[in-house]
Amino acid sequence: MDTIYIFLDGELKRKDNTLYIEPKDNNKNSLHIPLKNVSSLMFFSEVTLNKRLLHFFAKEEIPAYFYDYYGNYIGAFYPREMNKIGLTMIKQYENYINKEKRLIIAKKFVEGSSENMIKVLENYKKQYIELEKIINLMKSLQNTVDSQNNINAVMSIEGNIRKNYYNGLGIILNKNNFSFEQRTKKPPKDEINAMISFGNVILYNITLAEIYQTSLDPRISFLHEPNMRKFSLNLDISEIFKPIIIDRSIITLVNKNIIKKDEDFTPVNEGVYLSKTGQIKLIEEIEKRLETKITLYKDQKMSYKNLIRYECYKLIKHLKDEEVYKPYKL
Amino acid sequence: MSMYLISVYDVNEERVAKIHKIMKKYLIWQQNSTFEGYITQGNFKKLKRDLYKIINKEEDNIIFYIFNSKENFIRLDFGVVKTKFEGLIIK
Repeated sequence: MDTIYIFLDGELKRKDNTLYIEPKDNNKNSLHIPLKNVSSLMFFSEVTLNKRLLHFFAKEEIPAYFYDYYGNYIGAFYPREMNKIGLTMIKQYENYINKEKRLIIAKKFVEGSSENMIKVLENYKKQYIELEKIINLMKSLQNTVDSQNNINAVMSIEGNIRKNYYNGLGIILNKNNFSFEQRTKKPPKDEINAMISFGNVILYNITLAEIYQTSLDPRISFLHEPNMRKFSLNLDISEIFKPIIIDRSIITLVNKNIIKKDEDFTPVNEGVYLSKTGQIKLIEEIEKRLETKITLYKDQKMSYKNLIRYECYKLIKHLKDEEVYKPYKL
Repeated sequence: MSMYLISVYDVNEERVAKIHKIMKKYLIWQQNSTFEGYITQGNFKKLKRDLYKIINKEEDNIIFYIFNSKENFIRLDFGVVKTKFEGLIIK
């Protein structure tokens, strides 16, 4: 299933049961986009659309996400839930309310994400000797996760691992005029932060679209507190894939000198955002990675994007007490 | 499992528009009477069923070339590409 990213200004319509785009620029051809094999739509440009089109999105069960000029997430059109069944919801609720059960799942997410963070850094161990120390520190922190008995403690260890991980990333990404010290948000203070923020939001929304296709309720999460946001389960599941998909894409873009500091970013007061060209470059790299197929079992191949969906099904099995959830590890 | 489909058709003029309309619901239009794109098994069945209702079996012909993925063949373009629809990023 594809994700469609729209960077073209124009008018959108439902025409012959396709998404019809009439560009503002008269020199460009109008387009008919079939939505049968599409899982989500992302709008970055100025578009006008009507209710009839939203009805069509709902019919095809496709969530549409909207972003502002700087690539900040504005909101989504999230169609009426189609695949939700009461049983999964009750099980999810039960696993959230029961503190011990919730802790088990939360630990699994941290286990998966920290393992993947370590694997990303380990690739560069030979190149940068300083990473050894950071990796060892992360591993020792990772070993303390299991003995914790409340969510806050697990969360703070996760935060600590992540802080060390970003130090490691800083070492790798310190080239081609780029530098990265610590994570800053709203607005991101440097270019690497801008890429991480943008990439993470894209991944959250792709994960949300995958959750939408399953019977899971995206409002009830286990690691993150579900009360302050509308959707939070996608944050939990994304944790596992953030290092593999987003951070590795950023490393590739910087290492191969594809993204340029002076061309692909727009400075704003006290911060910096990706420009339109930068956004497209990062999305192209992320999509390439999501389409990469990996061998899961003997000869079963699966793309990373299907793997996100598969992660949801594994979670459902865990909730139903059929099989203990094992997070994906590189 | 989804597969990659290339479809070309040669049908009576009366039915060209109808076929085009059905095809573009599922696949991406490339040039006159040529479509391509990823499609799931289920949708392919639906597409065939829809087409079957319309075509005249004595006159018309529709060909589907089926590939596992886009990577299994090379596409060369000469001249103007009619649909700029690359990587599903629409610029």
